[in-house]
Amino acid sequence: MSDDKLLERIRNDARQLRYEPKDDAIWTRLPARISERVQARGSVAQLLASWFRPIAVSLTALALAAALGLTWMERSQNVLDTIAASPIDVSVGGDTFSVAD
Amino acid sequence: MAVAIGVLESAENGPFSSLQRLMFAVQSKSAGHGVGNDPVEAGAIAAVKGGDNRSYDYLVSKYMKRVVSIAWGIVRNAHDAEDLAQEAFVKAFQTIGRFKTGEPFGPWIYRIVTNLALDVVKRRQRFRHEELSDAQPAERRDRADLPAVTGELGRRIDEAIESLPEMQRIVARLYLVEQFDHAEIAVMTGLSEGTIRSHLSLARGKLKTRLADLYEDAHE
Repeated sequence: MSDDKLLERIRNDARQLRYEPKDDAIWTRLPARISERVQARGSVAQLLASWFRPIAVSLTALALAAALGLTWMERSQNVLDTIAASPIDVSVGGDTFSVAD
Repeated sequence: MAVAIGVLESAENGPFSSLQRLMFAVQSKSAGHGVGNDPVEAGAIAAVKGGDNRSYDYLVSKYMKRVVSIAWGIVRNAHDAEDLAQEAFVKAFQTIGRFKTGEPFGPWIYRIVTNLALDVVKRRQRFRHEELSDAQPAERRDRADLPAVTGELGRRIDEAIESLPEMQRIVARLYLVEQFDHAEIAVMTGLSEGTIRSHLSLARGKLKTRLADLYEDAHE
């Protein structure tokens, strides 16, 4: 018999040595653990999204409020400047008062 | 394909429905090593890539027995084998984006679990302050989990394989017990096909001597 044939004979007989756990529970335990870890990865992404979404909304609201506030302040400043540029004089009892003062 | 879609949809009702188990049984019988054309597998991979994590259950149920067996054959410890199988499937899931569509999942998960198991063997060797050399025969073999049906012949072959130097043992086990061919073992271990043949040739010589009484006509 050649060495190759010997190896093939051993190979044929060795097939029965594949691992078969005595504890059959492994075939439910193992996929359950894998599934738990795989699903957990999805859950982490969802958890992060659930945190980031409200934070992003809050930051957007703050930015909008700040922009509106700045616009309003600029407009108010413009009104004051206009008043300052054209003062109104009021005379009371011979004395003259300026509103811009 | 309609059946395949049905199986994937059934996964949403919970992992391992009876339909999935039935499909797995059919696929296991028809696919040999499980690397043949399997539209359900291709659909599951595409679904997982698309974010449907539950479709991964099909791949786990199809390959877990083989993956555990490969791991156990290398580390020879039931708990380690289970942990390695778990790690391998999680790692495969985490990197599934890099998996080529249309390729069979089997060789990929086999390679991952083999690499993880080889890492465990190397860590054990480092822990024992041994050099990574084929000169040292493997130690600490767990025979408690050998199949119950294994008779005297199986026990003798197992002992002969386990007495081989580490890499010869691992290659011999993948070839003789797990029935992979040279090219498949080369991919799984990251060694060249020539190195695999060399390990097998050395192993064959030792097995021939140790199993001489069982295969007497081998000397003819």
